[in-house]
Amino acid sequence: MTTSAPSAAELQQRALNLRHLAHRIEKLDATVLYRRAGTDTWIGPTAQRCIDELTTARTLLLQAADAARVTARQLELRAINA
Amino acid sequence: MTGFLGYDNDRLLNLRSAMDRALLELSDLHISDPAANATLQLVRRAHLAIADRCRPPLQALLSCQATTAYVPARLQRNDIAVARLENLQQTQGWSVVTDPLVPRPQSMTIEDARALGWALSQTHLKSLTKNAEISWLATNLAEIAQRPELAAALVANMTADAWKRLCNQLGDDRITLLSTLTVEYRLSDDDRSHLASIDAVFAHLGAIMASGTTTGLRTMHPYAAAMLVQHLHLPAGELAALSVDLIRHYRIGGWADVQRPGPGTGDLLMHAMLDTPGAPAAFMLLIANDPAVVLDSAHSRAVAEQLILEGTNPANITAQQAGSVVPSLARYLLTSNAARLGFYGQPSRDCSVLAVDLIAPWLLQFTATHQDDWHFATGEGARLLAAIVDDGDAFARLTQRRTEIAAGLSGTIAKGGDSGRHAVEDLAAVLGLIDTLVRQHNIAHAAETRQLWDIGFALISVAAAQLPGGAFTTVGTGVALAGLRKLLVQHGIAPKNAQAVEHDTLYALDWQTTVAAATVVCLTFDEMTRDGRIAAHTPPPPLPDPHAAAPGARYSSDFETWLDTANLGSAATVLFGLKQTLASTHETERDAAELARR
Repeated sequence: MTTSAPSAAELQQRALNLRHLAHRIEKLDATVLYRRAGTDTWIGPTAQRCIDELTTARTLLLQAADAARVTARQLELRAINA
Repeated sequence: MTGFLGYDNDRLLNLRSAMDRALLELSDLHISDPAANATLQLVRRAHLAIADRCRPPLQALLSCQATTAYVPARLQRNDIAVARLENLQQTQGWSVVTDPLVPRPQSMTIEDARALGWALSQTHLKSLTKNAEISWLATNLAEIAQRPELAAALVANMTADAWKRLCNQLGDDRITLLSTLTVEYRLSDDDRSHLASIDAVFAHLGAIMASGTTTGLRTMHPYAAAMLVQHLHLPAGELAALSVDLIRHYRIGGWADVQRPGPGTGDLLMHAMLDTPGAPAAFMLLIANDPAVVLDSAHSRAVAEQLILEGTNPANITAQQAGSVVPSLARYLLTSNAARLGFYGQPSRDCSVLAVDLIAPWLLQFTATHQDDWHFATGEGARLLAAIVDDGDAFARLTQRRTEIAAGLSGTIAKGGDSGRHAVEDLAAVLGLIDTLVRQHNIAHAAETRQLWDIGFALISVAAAQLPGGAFTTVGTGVALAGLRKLLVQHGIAPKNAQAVEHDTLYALDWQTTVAAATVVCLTFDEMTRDGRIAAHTPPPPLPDPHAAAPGARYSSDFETWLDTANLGSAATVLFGLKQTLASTHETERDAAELARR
């Protein structure tokens, strides 16, 4: 049994979904949590570690958004060639 | 790094809420396109970073109950390392706790102990409910208890209210756990560990309290106070007084342990007193006018009875002191319904065994000879005794206590000035009392003849040992009593093994009284012979005849014949007086008449 190649429309829809996902990720509260965990909230080793972890989480989420956009761009290129 | 963590509580709550919302958003992020796998993997890593590494410490801090890893601390103004936090604490109302991320010193510091005392005194802190928290507290208190400077720092910073709150809660939790154990016959591993941690905390708090102050013991729940008392190692008098106060407080009612199974307040305190020499007696003296304090407070009847008997034992209390305790207890046992029903509807109990055990060592004080010792009215002691020993079973129990009776007799005689005279009089008094009991209640047939003899034999031995020359002598074993010993051995000591076994108890009473008289006479005769008051070749006094139908009357007759013929001089008056004290001619003739009728 063989699977047919996705159509250009399908690829463009998937790319659009991924771009929406990237946008949602960038707007997540998790990306700005670190702002609430600053030295006006708490100070100390545990506080510092928490800020570091929240900053890491923000970085990971921004990387995820970038990855979604890169994948979307790849799907869009495939749609052009389809 | 200062080792401390300062925070604004409201902002931290906001952060936690924001974190929870962010985690929900992350969880809701879905896309079915396989091309998004790499993206979602990064999202999951971000979720983990927040959920597993950010939120738990935040949660632990916000639920801080003084004994998680985050221990509230009070900072010193002159410590530059914490100046910023100290300022925020003073001006912005920040909370400051120790921070476990920075290695703390291996051992506790005075500041740690102060901070713990202060933290435990903060009323806004929630109660300690988690086993991990109790366990943490136990570990730290163990170190504090071993170092006086730490204990002093803790005590100085811990309010009386904090002691009360903490101990009350731990006490209530302990009662609940023990109730579960009693009802379900098992505890989960966590509950068992919890119980052990609670006991450890009580032990360490007790040790700390012992080195400092006992303030607050009388205001906390009696059960909690009793748990602490176990570890205070108080002097006997202080322990007894405190126990009285706590038990009276407990008897007000309404405490968690009142109707729960397992050792309650009274049991714990009584165990502590039994482990402290002198405390039972001190306690009994304090509650002499309120016997309910001891009889109606412990869940375990056995513990209460053990305390009573220990506290009224002649080894621990003088006869004068016993006079203020034993009669009132005996009257309470005889008259109080509470004594029979027990506290809070416990099963009814038979107090007669306890009553007999209570009076056995003090039998002499119930005699007419000693009624003034305990301020009894004429005949009152005998009446009280007769009410206790009111049937054959009670008499049998009394005879089983002959060792205690003999010890009580010995103790009283030894404390008398003229021990020789007292010994004979006291022996006669106790033998007479037993005689009266037997006759009054017609318990002769219920009581084992052998037992009746045994009790008399024990008393005779004790009294004989107190006579001049009798310090190392007991009936039938002393050299001076060779003739009497031979007689007793021949007939197996007790008449049951001789021809006399066919006679009833009256015969046994008559026989033992006669032997008592003969013992005293022989002993005194030998002593007089040794010191020259009686000539060396004087014929010895007569011996009781075990084959006589009435041994007492026969002995009286033989004795008086001997006095008339032996030429004893002034010694005759002394020996006659001794013999008459124990077995008067009148009594022996009365016995003979009664024996002849049977």
